[in-house]
Amino acid sequence: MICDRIEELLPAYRDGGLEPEEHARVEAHLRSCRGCALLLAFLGETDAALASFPQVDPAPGLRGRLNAVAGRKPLFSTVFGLLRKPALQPVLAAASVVCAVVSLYLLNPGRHELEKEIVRTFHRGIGRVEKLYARTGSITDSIGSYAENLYVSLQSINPLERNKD
Amino acid sequence: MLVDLFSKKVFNLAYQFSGSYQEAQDLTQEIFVKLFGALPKYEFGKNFSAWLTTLAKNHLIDEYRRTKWEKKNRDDFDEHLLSAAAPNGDPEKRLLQTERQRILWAGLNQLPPDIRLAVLLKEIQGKSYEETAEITGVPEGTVKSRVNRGRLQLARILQKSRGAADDL
Repeated sequence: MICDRIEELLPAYRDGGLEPEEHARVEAHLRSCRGCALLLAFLGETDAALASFPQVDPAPGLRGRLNAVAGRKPLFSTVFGLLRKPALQPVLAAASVVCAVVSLYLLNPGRHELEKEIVRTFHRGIGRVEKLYARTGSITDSIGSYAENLYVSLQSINPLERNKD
Repeated sequence: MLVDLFSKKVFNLAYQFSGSYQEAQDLTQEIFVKLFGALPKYEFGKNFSAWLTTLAKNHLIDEYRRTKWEKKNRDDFDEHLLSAAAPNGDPEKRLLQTERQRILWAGLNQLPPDIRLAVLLKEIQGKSYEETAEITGVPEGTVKSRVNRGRLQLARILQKSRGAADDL
């Protein structure tokens, strides 16, 4: 049990990272425990072997492949770059609004009712216009007859003709 | 430029982590594809090497989770690593060191991925605890604990193999 606890402290002991009290406790244990002292020695060998671990050269073709990757411009980034151009922003904004309105219309569950209402309103509008047109015609006729009456009345009150009488 | 500066570093991290030379080449290529895609997100002034190593680490861990390398065997400590070892020094000592490295190379497969990465970055790649913490995205105390656990486990593996060799 003591050895388990001491073994856990061995890396920090080797690095000089223990508090003085703990350092002294490990040192005292190492003097009396051959197993822990041996593990400490193997820890030293491990550290030395890891520190001088060889760095391997990759295969000669790899560098060429990586350079080819560097030179390749992905299609996505090209398209994305085009879409990010400031000149296209108003067009994209208008397109977004149109898309939103169209999708709201197409996805509306009461679309057929809406269509019927639009047709009804349209026809009602046409009816009103026709009525207005007809009324305008009758007004023109009325004005014509008023003008005629007025003319006759004016002739009847002509002072020259009255003097003759 | 980036390829010349960092390809060997990334390749070695991938090789030490995966244990397969062929797999490490594919991983390096995938990491560089990600790197070139992520370059616009890099903030100038930040440590580029640490940023790239973080990207590489994330990819290695993702691939590890996807493919579970621990079920596969690592490459033998073959001519790739032996030819890269420093040729100077006492031949007997060099032989002993190579033998230790051969055992540790196989032993790395027994470490859980988080601990293996911490050991690779700190002990083999020579990063500081602070840099390793930045790359792995965990506190420095956690990195120290992972590295120490890894070192201890590797030391036990080395001890066990020596004991087995002595028994023969």
